Amino acid sequence: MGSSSARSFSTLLEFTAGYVTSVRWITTTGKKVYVLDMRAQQLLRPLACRSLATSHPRAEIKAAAEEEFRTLEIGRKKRERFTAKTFKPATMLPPRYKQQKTDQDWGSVWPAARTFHPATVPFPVRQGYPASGQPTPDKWANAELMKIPNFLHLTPPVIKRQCEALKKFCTPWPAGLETTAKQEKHFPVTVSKSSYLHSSPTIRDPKARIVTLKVHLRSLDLDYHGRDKLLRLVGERYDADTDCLTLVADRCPLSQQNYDYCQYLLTVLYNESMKTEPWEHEKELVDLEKYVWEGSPSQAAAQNVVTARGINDAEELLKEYGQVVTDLHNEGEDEATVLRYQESVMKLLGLTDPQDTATASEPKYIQGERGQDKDGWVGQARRDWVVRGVKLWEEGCEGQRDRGVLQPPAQHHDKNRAFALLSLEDTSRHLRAFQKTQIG
Amino acid sequence: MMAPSARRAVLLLRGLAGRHGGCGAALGQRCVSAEAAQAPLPRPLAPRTSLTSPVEHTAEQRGLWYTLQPGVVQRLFSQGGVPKQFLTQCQTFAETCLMVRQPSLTLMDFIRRSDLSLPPNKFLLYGRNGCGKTLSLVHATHFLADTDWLLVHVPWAPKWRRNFKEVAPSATIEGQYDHPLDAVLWLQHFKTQNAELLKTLQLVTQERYIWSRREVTEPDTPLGELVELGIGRARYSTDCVLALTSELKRHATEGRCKVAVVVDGINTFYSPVSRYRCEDRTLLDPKYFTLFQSFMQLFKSDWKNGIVVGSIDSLANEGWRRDSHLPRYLLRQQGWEALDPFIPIPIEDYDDLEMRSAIDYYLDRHWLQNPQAGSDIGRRELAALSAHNPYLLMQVCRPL
Repeated sequence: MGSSSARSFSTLLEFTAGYVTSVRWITTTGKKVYVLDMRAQQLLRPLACRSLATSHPRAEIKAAAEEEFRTLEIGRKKRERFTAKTFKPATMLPPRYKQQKTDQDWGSVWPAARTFHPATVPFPVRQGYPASGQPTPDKWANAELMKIPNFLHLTPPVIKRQCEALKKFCTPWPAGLETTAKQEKHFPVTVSKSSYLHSSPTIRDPKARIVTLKVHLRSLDLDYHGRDKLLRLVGERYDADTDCLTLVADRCPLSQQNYDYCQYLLTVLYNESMKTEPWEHEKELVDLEKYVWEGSPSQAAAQNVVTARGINDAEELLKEYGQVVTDLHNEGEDEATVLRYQESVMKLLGLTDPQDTATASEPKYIQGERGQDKDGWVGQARRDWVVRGVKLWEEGCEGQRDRGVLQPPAQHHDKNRAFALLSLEDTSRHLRAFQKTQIG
Repeated sequence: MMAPSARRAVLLLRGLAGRHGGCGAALGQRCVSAEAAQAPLPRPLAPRTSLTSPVEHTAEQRGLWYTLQPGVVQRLFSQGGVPKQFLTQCQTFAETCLMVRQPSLTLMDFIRRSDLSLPPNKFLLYGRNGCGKTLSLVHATHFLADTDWLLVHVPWAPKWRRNFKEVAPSATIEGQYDHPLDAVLWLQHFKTQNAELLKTLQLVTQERYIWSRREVTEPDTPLGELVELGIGRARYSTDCVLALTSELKRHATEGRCKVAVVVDGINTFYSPVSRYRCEDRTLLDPKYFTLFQSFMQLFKSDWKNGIVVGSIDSLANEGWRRDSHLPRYLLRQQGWEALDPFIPIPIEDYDDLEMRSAIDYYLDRHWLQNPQAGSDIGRRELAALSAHNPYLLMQVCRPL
C-alpha cells in the first residue's frame, strides 16, 4: 500500500472504529480475528478489495488521476426501439389444384374418405353463414366444410371402378327376382338382426339378440274380418302408410330363439285372425272399426227430411248423402270433406243455390289420394272414429295444402343463400368451368 | 337468424333502411321519410253503406260497413251477443258498425229460401278463432229481428255450463238441476228482444202450469205474463223457460209464429262436464240442466216454422277438446246425432277486399294514428302482422 492509501486506511480505520459496535472474537487456531459489523464492513470493503487486488502502484495512481465523475442518470434509460422481427414467410408453393390437369384421375387424387382439403379440391365451394356485409365464406380455412362428411371419394367413375373390382367376388343376382314386386311375391317376409363386435374384455353385445320381422299385409291371404282382427291384435305394430307389420322380439337371450319366436308369433296371429270366435257376434256399435251409415241416427234423420219434403225417388239422394257422411267419418274430417257434406246437405234440404254463393268464397279443394286397398277402407282400425278424425284432421287440413292443392312456392335460387349445396353434376360442371378459367 | 336479404326486407318495411338510408332512430321508433312528411296521405273514408237493415243487404254490399242503430243494439244485444272487446271499440268509435261479409249473406239467403213448412233447417257457422263467427251471428240476428222472426237467442251458451251464477237441484223434476238467476236474466233478454212481437202476435199458453199451491198459470194466459212470472220468481224461472220454449214450439208448429233459435257456442250443449259439483263430489253432466234441455228440444226435427242458427266455437268446449275448429270434432258424437243434417257455413279470415275495408274503417275512425298506416306498405305490414285474422287485426291496431 502506498502512503496515501495508508493514510486513507488509517483515517478509515479511525472512522470505522466509531462503527464498531460488536466485535466477535473467533478463535479457531488461536488467532484472534476481529469481525466487524455490516456498516464497518461496507466502509472497509473497497479498501479490502483494493488491497486484495494485484495492481501496479503506478497504474493505480494513473487511474486515480484520470478518474471522472460518474454520470448520474435521471429518468429512464433510452432504450433502443426493437423493431418487430419480420418473419419472412417461407416460400409457399402454389395450391395443388393449379397443377392438376382437367383429365386427371380423380380417384387417385382422393382415393379414400378424407377431410376436406381446399388446396386439393379444384372447384370453388362456399359454405357457412355470411357475416354482415360479407359473402359466404369460401373454402379456405373453412371449418364448416371440414367438419361435414364429403363424398369426393365416391364420384361415379370411382364407384364404377370399385364395382368392377368387386364383381369377381359376387354371385349373379337370382333370376326371377329382378323387380321388387317379384321379390315380395317370393320372399314376403324380411327378417333382420344386427351383429356387434367389441374390442373390450367381452366381444358380446346384448343388442345382438334383437330380431325384427317385417311382412306386408297384402302378402298374407286375409279376408276382411281376418284383417280387422289382425289389426286389432297387433295394434301399433302395423304401419298404415307402408302396409307393413313389424314384429320385434328381444325376450329370449339368443337371436335364434327370438327368430323362432317371431315365426311362431306370425303363425299364431294369422291363424287366430282367420278364426271367428263365438263371442265376436257381440260386437256393438262402439266397437265398429269404421262408420257404417246404414242404421245410424244420421240415416233416420235424412229419411225424415226426405219424407217431410215428400220426395219420391230419394234413393240416389240418400245414397250420396250416406256416402258423404261415411267419408267424413272414415277418411277423417277436414275442410274438403266438410265442404262435400255441406253440398250434400244443401241438396238434401233443397237449398242448392243456382248462383253458388255459399261455396263461392271457398276454393274447391281437391281430395288428395289416400292409400286405399282392395276392400275400399283406409288404414287403421280404431274404435272411436272421432279420435280417428282428430288424428287425421292434422293430415287433412295441413296435408291438403301439402298435397299440391295450394301450389308450393316456386323454387328460386337466391344468390345469398347461406348454404350452397351443389349436386354432383353441378360439381363437375363447376369444376370444368373453373378449370377453364384457370387455364384460359 | 335471417338471411341478409330477408333482414333487409324487414328493415325496409320498418322504414329503417330505406333508399335514402335509415335514420338513426331508436329501436322501435318508426322513421318517417322526408317525402311522407311533406305530403301526408289523404285519409280514406270508410266504405259504408247507408242501408241500415240487413234485409236489404246483397252481394253488392260485401265489404261495406253498415251502422246498427243504437236502439237496435239496446233491444237485441243488451245481455250479450256482441263480443265485449268489440263493444268497447264501438263505444270508442261512438257507433256500432259491422262489415257485410259473404258468410252472413249466404246465411241470410238460406234463411229466406228455407221452406218453413218443413222441419227446421239448421245452419251452423264454424271457423278458426277470431274469424268473425259471433259477429256474423249478430248480423243474422239483426236480419231475423227485422224480418219478424221470434228470437230465442242464447248469447253465449257456455256461460251456463262454466260461469253460471247459481245451480240448484230442481224442485219439480227429480234428478235435474236448474239455474235460477241465469234463467231470470235470459227471460229478461227474451222480453227485451221480442217485446213488440209478443204484443202483436198475442200468443197464449195452452197448458196449465202449477208452480205451487197458490201460483198457477192457467191456459190462455199471454206468454208475456209467463215471462213476467219467471222474471219475478227466480225459483220457478228455469221451469218457466222450459214452459216458454215448449209453448213457442207448439205455436210455431201450429203456424201462429215463426221462431228462430240463435245459439252462440252450440257445441257446448254436448259437452260431458260442467263446473257444478254434486253432493257426491262428481262434476255434473250438463244434460241434467233443465235450461239446456229447454233449448235442446228446439234442435229436434219435430216442429215447423222454425230455424236454428248457431256457431260451433272451439272456445265453447273444454280446454282439452279444442284441437280442431271443424264441426264434427267439436260437436262430438252426441251433438252430431242431434243436429245432423245441418249446413255448415265456414267463416274464413279476411280476404284482400275485406282487409282494405277494415283498415279504411280504422283510418276513418282516426284509430290508426301512424301516417304510414294507410300506405301500401303499411297495409301490407298490418296484413302480415294480423295474418288476415280480424281479431288479430283489432289487437294489432290497438296500440297504433
